[in-house]
Amino acid sequence: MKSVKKYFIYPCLILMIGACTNLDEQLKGDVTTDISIKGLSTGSGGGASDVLGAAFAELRNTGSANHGAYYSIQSITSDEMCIGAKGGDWFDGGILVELHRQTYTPTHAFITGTWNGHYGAINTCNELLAKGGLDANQTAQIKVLRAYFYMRLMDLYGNVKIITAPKVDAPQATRANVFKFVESEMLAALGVTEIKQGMNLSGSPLGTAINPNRINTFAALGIIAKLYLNAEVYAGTKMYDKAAVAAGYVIDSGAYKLCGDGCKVSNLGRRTAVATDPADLEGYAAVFAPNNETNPENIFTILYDEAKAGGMNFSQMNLHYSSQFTWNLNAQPWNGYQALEEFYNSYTDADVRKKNNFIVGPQLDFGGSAVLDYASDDGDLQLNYTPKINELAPNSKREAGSRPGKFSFKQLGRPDQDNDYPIVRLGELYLIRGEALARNAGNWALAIPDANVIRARAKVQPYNTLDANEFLKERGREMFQEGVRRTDLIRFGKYNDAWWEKPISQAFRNIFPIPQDAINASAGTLKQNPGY
Amino acid sequence: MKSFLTKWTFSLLLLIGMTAAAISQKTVSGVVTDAANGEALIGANVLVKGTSSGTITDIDGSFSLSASEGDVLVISYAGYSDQMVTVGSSNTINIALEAGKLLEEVVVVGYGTQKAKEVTSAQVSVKREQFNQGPISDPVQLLQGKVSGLQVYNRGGDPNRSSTIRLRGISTVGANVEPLIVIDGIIGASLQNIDPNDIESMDVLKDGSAAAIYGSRGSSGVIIITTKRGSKRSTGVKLTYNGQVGVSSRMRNIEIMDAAQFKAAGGTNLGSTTDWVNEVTQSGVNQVHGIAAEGGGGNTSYRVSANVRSVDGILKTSGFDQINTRLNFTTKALNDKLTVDFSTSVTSKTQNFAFQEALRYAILYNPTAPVLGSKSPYPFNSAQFGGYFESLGLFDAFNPVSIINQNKNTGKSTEFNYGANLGYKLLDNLTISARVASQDNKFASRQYYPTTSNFRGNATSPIRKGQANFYDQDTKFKLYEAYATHLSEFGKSTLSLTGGYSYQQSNFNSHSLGIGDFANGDLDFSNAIETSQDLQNAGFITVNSDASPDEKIIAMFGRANFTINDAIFVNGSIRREGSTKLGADNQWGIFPSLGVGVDINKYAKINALNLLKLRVGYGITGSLPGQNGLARAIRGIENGADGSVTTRLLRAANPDLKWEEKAETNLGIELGTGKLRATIELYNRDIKDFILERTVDVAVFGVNRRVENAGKLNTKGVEVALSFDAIKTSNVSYTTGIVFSTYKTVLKNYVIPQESRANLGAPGQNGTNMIRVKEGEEIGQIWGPVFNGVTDKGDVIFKDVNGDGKFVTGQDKALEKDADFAVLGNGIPDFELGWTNNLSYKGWNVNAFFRGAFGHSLVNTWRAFYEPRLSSQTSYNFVNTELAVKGLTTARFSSLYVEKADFFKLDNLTISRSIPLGNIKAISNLNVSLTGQNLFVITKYTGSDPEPALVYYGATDNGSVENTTNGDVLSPGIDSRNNYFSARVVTLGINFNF
Repeated sequence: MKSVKKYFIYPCLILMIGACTNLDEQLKGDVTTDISIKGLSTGSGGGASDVLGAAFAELRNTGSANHGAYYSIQSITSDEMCIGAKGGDWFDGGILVELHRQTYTPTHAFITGTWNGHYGAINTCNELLAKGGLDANQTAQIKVLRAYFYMRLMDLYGNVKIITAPKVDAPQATRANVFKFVESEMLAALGVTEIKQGMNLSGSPLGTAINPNRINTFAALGIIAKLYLNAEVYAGTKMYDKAAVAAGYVIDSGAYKLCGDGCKVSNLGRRTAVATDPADLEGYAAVFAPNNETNPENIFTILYDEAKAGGMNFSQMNLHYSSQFTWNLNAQPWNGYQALEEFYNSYTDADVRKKNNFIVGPQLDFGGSAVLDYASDDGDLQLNYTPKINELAPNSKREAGSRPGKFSFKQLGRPDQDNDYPIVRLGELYLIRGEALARNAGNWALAIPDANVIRARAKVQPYNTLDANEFLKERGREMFQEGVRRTDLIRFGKYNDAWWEKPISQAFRNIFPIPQDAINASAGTLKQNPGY
Repeated sequence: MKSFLTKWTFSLLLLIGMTAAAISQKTVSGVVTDAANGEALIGANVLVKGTSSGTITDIDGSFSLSASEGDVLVISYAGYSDQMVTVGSSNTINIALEAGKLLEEVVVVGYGTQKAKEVTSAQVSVKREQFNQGPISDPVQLLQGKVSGLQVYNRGGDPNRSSTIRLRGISTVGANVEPLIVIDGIIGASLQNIDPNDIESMDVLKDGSAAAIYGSRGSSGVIIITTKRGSKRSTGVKLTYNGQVGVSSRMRNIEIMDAAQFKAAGGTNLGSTTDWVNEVTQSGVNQVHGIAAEGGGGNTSYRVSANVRSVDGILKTSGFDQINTRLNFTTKALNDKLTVDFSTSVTSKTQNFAFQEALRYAILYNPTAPVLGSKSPYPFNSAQFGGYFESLGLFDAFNPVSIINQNKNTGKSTEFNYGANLGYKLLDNLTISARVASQDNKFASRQYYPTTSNFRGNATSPIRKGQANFYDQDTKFKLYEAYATHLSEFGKSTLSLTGGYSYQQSNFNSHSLGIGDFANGDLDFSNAIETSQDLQNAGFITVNSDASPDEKIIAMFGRANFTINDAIFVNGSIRREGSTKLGADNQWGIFPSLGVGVDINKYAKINALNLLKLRVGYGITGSLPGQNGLARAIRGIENGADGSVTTRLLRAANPDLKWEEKAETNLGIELGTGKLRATIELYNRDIKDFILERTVDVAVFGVNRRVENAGKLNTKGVEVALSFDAIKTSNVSYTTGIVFSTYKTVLKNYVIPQESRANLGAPGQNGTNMIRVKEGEEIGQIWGPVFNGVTDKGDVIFKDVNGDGKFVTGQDKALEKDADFAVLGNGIPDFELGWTNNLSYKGWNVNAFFRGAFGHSLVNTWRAFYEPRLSSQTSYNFVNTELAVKGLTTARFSSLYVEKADFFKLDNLTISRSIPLGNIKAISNLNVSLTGQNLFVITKYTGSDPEPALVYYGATDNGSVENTTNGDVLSPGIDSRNNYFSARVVTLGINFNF
């Protein structure tokens, strides 16, 4: 026993001191702390390295133009579009049907994903702010961006936590308090205490330099205009006058132009063999085209790029498998999203927006021949999108429903599109001002001038009279596929109405449930919204 | 690196110092062998008569001790008659023992050997003769069904996929669910590098008390493999040849429609008749050739072997070729006090993975579709698809023949291992050992999809076609250990003490490249990727590289084995171990164990019994997570389109992450009469603080993922092993044995009350989770709505399970209080059974091994997707089992697709014959055998293979690649569409010495 100690244990003990027990973990293949970006090449994008990149990338990461998060829950819960269960395809446990019929629950994957995405985005903003080193303009931009994410959270979930520093918890705030927070952050960035006629915005660190992928004073005004337009819903207080002032300020500044006749870009989706394909996209169509990055109407857009900034997948989400051959797409589409027939029919045939916003009818390929669906379910091999959808589930026809095509596809497109996605554009600001003026005065005739600006561009007859219902329809026609329809329907009190394949829903559905995952993880600090 | 050298040099110095310190006395050494066959006897007692000085023989049968001329050595070994030898002038005494009394078994334990009767834990030793027969390439399959509580499943039997191994079920929910493998003392050795022909025995440590000496890596049990060693021979070299040739064929079919049935069912008629399954499957030819040479003399023995394997899968083009060589070398020096054991092995393997997806698409592809595009019923550009037909416009459908004929999916691995073990007998009763071992594995895979392949080659794309993928990885493992064993005797009691230090380091790095957009042509552009047009277009090329940190495990351990009166056995061990993988403040853990066993019959003296032993063991082991950096925050780099570089959080840090611990109590009873031997094990294991990535409050952490100690599992189980020598005469013997095991694992605590997991997938069944995990309930619950009929429209009618008059069957309501969901089955069997029968008659031997698992269910995903007659999807074929419901035209997951998968099969039947050689002297011990694997199976399951599915790798669709690295072990019971078809193999084997 002694010898064991003498010859073995003691020497071993000596051995174990020092290097032999060093267990530091030096990770090699992962980034664990925020890396320094000093001295890095700035790549082919040119320009100085931009510390705000990650924060603005969160606009894409939150699912603004792809399947399964923000865009989906804003759109297919509304009367704009749906995803029909096409036989064995797209049933997905019924969660898509549930969105359309507004029977969603706290465990819905899209609702959970949207929540996680937005708080992740807020964290990125918070980290950036906490890290310091931002100038006044950058700080203001990030604060407005964060406020915008909170505005979405408030719109979606109502009562949420307002987290303003990394890893620092905060209690769940009421929707009205979230509204106050968003408002105060926006006003601070704009350098004013109140939005009113004749305000002086020259002190705003946001400045007025035009870069639609970043936030300037006009972008912030656009966001706050949307906030005030919905203030009655969010906070129970009417603030339509302020919405009208904010929108009017941007319109009147002349910094942006409505893209009408003569405002055009070349048509990147053109099939030379198809005579009806125009060489250029002009007016309304140009605003949403793959090459829309310099469109004068866009005030604040989300940058998308097929290679460098992926995340817009409309061609995949909306088109039938065989439509690959119309645009020579790099990948086979998924045959998911379908526009509702009634919504499609709300456009007159003269409306230029109808042609731009929908893909409908018999389809031709790049060479001008019929696009064939070899697995066609109606015996006719040519792919033919019919406005009518036979049913939502279980056997929605594979070719049923016109397909959202507003953000038009380019030839040889990749699964990720190039089109920048508007958050604030001048066209919408006209509609905001018109609606705000009308609601403020209780007189829809006051919305006619602004509505007619939009209608003129769409080549449809101007309004002589107008009511709320018609205004909502017009707003729908203009704003289709821009992820605002659910919010609009709620503001107009129509979200709970019955429409195609959707029964009347209860008012509590106007706010999504707080995700069960979040409640479970919150150790009692999050309470479920009423009704769920 | 410096620290290893320091440590290693230190150990050597220590050794040399001890040598000098040793007392000079005459050392007698030798080898104890079996007189009948000359094989070494391990663990024989060698005592100097009239003293307490003695030793036991080591793994080569060698011993050495101090004695004076004229002393008498008493050599004894269980099952043999004692022999006495007087020490003369020679320093070498070799002894051949004659068989006598019943054989006393010695088993291998952590850092040593022990007499079987002294073992106090649940340990099963399986010798070569008991192994499963046939062309087995995966060593653990030698044990399938032989060890109660050990589950070895290779669903379907893809020759390129290793088996799923579980000891006593799930031991953790993270990584490391598979037992620790120890080969010839080398911890964490790789099964890839050992040929089954080279294995002498396998010892399975089932419970915590035995595994605790292995600390953090022992939670899932330990399998100790001992390779064959050379035996010292009086003359020449012994050469052995072992050859097998087998043919594998498809065992069971998934019932699908043929062309006529499909047309009658309203399927889209494309004018041809094709049996897609036949088109892509084959009879595989398997060959194994092994040759071994062993010999030695004096102080040295060696064994050299080479094994060549060529295995074809039943999927066309799939299979592998492997060559493995191994050298085991043992010698003694320094007056026989120093034993040097050295072994090295090299394995080179080329694999053709082919594409399992071809089997999946063979099931669902339209049986009226032609193989070739020229037979297409409508205008079709065959050239674009390499001459093959494709049903364009249909999601998730690819011509299976085109998949396997046009594309390549190959792998190559080389592994080089060595291990050296130095043992020095400092005193007669004190041995010190040092071990250094290294494993070095390189693996490379290549995939090539030409521009004409619709499957992953993107042949439909007008712009970017063809794809080549390259992947290379390099894994290194190093082990340094030093330990000492001291033996002391007090009258009739003995005490053996072991203590030591262990240092393990793993390193991994990998890189991959994916590139495409090639020209059309015959050239395999994976050899000319510089021609890729992806080089001109941003964003298409995918690259990845990764390197692990230096993953270290450092441990100090000690063990005491105390034997009182040769009847009461007490074993205790403790290991303190640290790992780089855990949170900075929780890197070290302590893993103790204690076991007590009593040979009751020594006191009770029941005449009918020759063995009655009771033992209790308790031990704590850890479970190391599979990944690195789990405690750390992980960030992703965001390259902005404008040239900016920033990062965002992907996973939050958890510096409090601590050891996952398993505490296990095992009660064992061993009982034997002349003919019957029985072992019964009862166990209870608690796994606490299991490590899992879980959802945290995204608002606080900035991201909703973090790795935490997430809950507690409890498993209770019973295992019984029986063996009965029914007939034992000089001509005929018949032995039969049964192993039975059952266990139940309950999720005691979890971070959330319940959750659903395991998505069924596309088409159409995303968001459909099939498994429920709930606090307080058994794991493995298949969870879903209950099928109750069909409407006139073909829609599903579900059952109002709770009878509240409402139908709550939406998948996102699966966990709500009023949901009409039910437990539809359990993926884990209620019990498993193995039944061995061995009949010998003169030179003939028949071994029949039956195996079954009972009470488990499987989700038949083939049926769930392809059995309903979807009116809008008539271009897929339909699965057509007897369970198909008439008129059902919607696919929604329900109890309809959950099937009981109890089975009983003739797993292995081997008939062998020793051929009398008469006057032929050139060869000896000629043995010829015929083996059938999977000859029949009795089951009601309608899928291809009723074996339990213990892990789920998630859904894949439309040509996406299955990720087999992170399987979900909480989701057993899913027969995935990607599973290989099971095979039946018939093999002719021949064996002789020359």
